[in-house]
Amino acid sequence: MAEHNYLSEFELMLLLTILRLGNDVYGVPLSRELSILRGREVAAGSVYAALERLETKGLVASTLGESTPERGGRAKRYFRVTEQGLRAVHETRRVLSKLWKSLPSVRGDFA
Amino acid sequence: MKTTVSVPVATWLLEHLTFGNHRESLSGDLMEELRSGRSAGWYRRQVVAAIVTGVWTALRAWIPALVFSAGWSMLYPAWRTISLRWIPHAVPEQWLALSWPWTTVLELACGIVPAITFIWIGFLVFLVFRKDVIAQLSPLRLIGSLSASLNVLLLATLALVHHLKHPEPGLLCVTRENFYLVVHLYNVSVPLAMSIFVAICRVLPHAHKPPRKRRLARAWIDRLTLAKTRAHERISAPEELASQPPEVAKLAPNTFLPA
Repeated sequence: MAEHNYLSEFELMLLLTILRLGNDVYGVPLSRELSILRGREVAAGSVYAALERLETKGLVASTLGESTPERGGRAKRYFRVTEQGLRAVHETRRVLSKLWKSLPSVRGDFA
Repeated sequence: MKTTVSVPVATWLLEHLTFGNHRESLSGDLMEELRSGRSAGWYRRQVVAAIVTGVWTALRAWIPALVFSAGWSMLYPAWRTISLRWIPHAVPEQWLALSWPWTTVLELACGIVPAITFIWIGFLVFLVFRKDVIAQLSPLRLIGSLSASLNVLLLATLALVHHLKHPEPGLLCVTRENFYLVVHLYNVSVPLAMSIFVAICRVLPHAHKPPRKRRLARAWIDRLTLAKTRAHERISAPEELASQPPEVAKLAPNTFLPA
């Protein structure tokens, strides 16, 4: 049986935002974009907790970048969606689309 | 660039009270946001949120281990009964004929070995159900976990001997059938549960932390990179240097100052 990686709502949003911003994106633009899209502040700690979870699942990969003075000498960490992550996004989209299509009576209300 | 508000306590808390491999990057991101105009209040709120999230994530990873350890330790009386039947047959007869101090050593072993085997079997049973943990488990980490469980059991044994205030030789009270059940919480043996829990926590992916040597090396590389970047900045825009926050200036060596 194929192994499924179930994504939470926030994890799916994160993966889509990384894809939207292009691969190799780091925490600051990711948090800002998520805040804009969601319409409310996103805690950077939650973003990193979710990214770490996704990395453990193999859905994102990260590389350490350069240190800059404005970061107090701390290195950036760039994230990109892996092949497995991309498959998980498509699978989630397929399941969600199927579920939405199976609700004919309310489909119009939410459109 | 806007004025940077000094937030050393919040930064210290962030770097010491959060878990995971990305805390350095998180700290850098928050610092970058602060220097791009966010308020100190925003920074502190983010630090608190990061600490709470980190603690909750760690707890969520440890709760199954804690529940398993407590549940498994409740089986100890049954295991002790089985092992008491088995141990006398397992000890060679010539060992029983040995004189002191080997007789005492043998008695101690008969008291502790069932507890150790019980803990290690419990640990292995947990691993069987956690394929994700097995996938990331190295032999060194496995040995470290088993060793940590032994250390905790040894400390618990000494504490129990002290608690029982047994007349000399005190250590022999480990042969008591209910020795590890003296300190308990309902039917949970606290020393055994602690020992299994420590072993499991050592192998959980969330407990991974980069080795101290690597972290120190990383810190030095960061400082050197920072100094290099600062040197370039000083050469290209010396007037902007004066507006830099003091903590950045502190990190850059004076030798890079242009003549």
